[in-house]
Amino acid sequence: MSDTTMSPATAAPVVNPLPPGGQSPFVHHGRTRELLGICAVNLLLKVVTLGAYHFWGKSRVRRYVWSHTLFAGEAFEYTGRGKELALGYAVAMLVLVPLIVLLNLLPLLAERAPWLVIAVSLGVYPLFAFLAGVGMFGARRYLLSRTRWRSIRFALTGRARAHGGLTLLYGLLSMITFGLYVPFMRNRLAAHLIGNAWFGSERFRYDGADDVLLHRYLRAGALMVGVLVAWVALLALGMPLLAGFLRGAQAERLGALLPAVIGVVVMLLVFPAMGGAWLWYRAGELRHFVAHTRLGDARFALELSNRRYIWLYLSNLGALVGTLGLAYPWVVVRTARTLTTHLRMDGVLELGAIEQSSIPTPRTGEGLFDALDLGSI
Amino acid sequence: MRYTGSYTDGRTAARQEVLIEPGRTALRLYRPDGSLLDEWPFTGLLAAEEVYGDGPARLRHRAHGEATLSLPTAALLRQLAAQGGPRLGGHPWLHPTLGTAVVALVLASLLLAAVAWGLPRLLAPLAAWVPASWSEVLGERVETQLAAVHPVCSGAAGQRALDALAQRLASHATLAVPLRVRVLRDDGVNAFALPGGRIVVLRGLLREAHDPDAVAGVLAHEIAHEVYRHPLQGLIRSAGTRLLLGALVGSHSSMESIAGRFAQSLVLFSYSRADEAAADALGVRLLNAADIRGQPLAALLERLSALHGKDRAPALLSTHPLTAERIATIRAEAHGKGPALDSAQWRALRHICE
Repeated sequence: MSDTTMSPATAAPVVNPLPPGGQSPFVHHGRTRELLGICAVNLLLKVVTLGAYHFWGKSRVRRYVWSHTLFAGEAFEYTGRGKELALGYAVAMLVLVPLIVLLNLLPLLAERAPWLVIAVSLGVYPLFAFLAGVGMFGARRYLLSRTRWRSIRFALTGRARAHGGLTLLYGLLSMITFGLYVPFMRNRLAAHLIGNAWFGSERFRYDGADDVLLHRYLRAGALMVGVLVAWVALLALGMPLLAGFLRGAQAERLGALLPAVIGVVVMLLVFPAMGGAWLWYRAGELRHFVAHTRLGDARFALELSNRRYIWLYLSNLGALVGTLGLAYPWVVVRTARTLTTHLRMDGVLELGAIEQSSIPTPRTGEGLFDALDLGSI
Repeated sequence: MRYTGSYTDGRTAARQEVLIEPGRTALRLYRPDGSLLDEWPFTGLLAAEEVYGDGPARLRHRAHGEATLSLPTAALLRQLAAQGGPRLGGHPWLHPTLGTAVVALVLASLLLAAVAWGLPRLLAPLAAWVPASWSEVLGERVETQLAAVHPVCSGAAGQRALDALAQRLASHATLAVPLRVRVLRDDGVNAFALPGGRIVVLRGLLREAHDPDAVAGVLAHEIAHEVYRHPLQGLIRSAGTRLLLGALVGSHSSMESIAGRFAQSLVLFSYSRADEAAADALGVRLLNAADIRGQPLAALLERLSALHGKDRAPALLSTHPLTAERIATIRAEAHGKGPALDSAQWRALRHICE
């Protein structure tokens, strides 16, 4: 058979991906039972191989999740291989192991060369911030380059080094401003990652403004402080009432216990208040990121309420902790399902005009990301 | 029989419906109007991913780049397999993973071999490469940490007796660093050698020993560890093992870390036996050279092993795995005659913590 006989798709119809009625064009139909089977086999092989199967297992899970996530009736495809992840990890280890050994030996020099110790200690955090940025970018580039839809590859252009530099710079600014810069940092890093992403020949664009996020961030902070003040006030009011209720020796004993009680209560309240406020911020941030992402003439929207997002996060966390990670397949499937059912696309995507990506693909992936333990999936 | 499916050519994101006809050696793809779109030979045909149950399924071809054929069901794949064509999609759970599992297994065995075979052979040269001053700093740090929990016993006469005994034993050994022996206020029946010539004896050992010669025997054993630089090697070994196995495990979920730790303790255990045997042999030689009796040490070890299995399983046995051969060796090799300490010294040593 010669090449001339196969000139397909020259007059291919452009399939409009938008189903009528404003429904989400995204669908996930993975089944917990099937993913559980995959994870069980993975775990078994991981134990037998003392963990080395990790990278192959991870690829397997991704292949399942991608191939069960549909956009406009066509499933995504994951083409990454376990050995690419293993190789990437080995390369990252070559960088990190000497660094870690060096840092562990450092205290031995404390008396001989205190200045060197101080200099290295000061340099470590910037270095790890930089490496975290590089790792994040590298992981995203790998993930996109190994994702296809309708045979067309996704891609990420730009330099990992630049993302590392931005992470370092914005991190320093966040420190100097006592955290006020955090929403700017997150928005700009997202802009760098989304604005450099491609689907075939079509580039994603991102036009999310900083100040909207800053506003939400400040409100989250106020929310947290408000909750804390309310609790402390309640405590301050409740204690004398309680003390008045009890008498004599009982009240004295309570008085002695007061500092401890306040300590425990603060511990019990500060972390949930902080966590709750942070999750509330993150819900809005995620909607912001999605809403300001464009591909061609298409726009996206995530219609996931704060409450839904926080519940999804907390119940996932509870399930994972409660089952020592056994609930992982359930968490993956329900998260994918929730996100896809609430993800909308508006506008028309001229699919016939989108050509195959010509951006070179990286050979190995995610080493630093995995080694620094920056996240899952 | 023709099957319906859709086709993307790998060049644009446009999709077209196709009819697929499995021939004898190739799949023929037709456009809806009946014209031939493409022909994919069976050789080179592959499934894009595992097929679950009755599909859907996606096919690609080695000779056709990134073009993809999407099938709503797995019916075509079943027919291909039934008529003796290629078997595609495999068992969704097991088949595609076996080959890679073998690769991973080989990789794991290689790393395990590096830990179990390579690391012990590297330990002595590595430890020799570490300057004596570094190991002294290390030992000092560890001792400071220990002393923070269990105070150092400071009876002057007892310390003099202990130093004299240590010097007497060490005078027949070659040590790169000066020896420092301390007694800690802890009821564990044990003694440790730390890097940099530091030896820690727990008060419980002095109480349980009944005989200064048994204390001398334990001390000689720990001095032997110092001579061989086992403490430093132990630190390097545990750090190296953790590093290598950590690299191997890759992720840190609870089940995996249990598997990793299990492997690690297996490796560590097999090392310590060889070290203990070496320290036993040199320890007995030091006792003989100082002309101190070895039988009380054997008696102490026997007494402790009799307690083994009861609630009071002594710590000495958990860090110094004990076998009948070890006791027999000590009995056979020891031929010293004299006492380790006179009765005044022994009394002072026993009361060093008061």
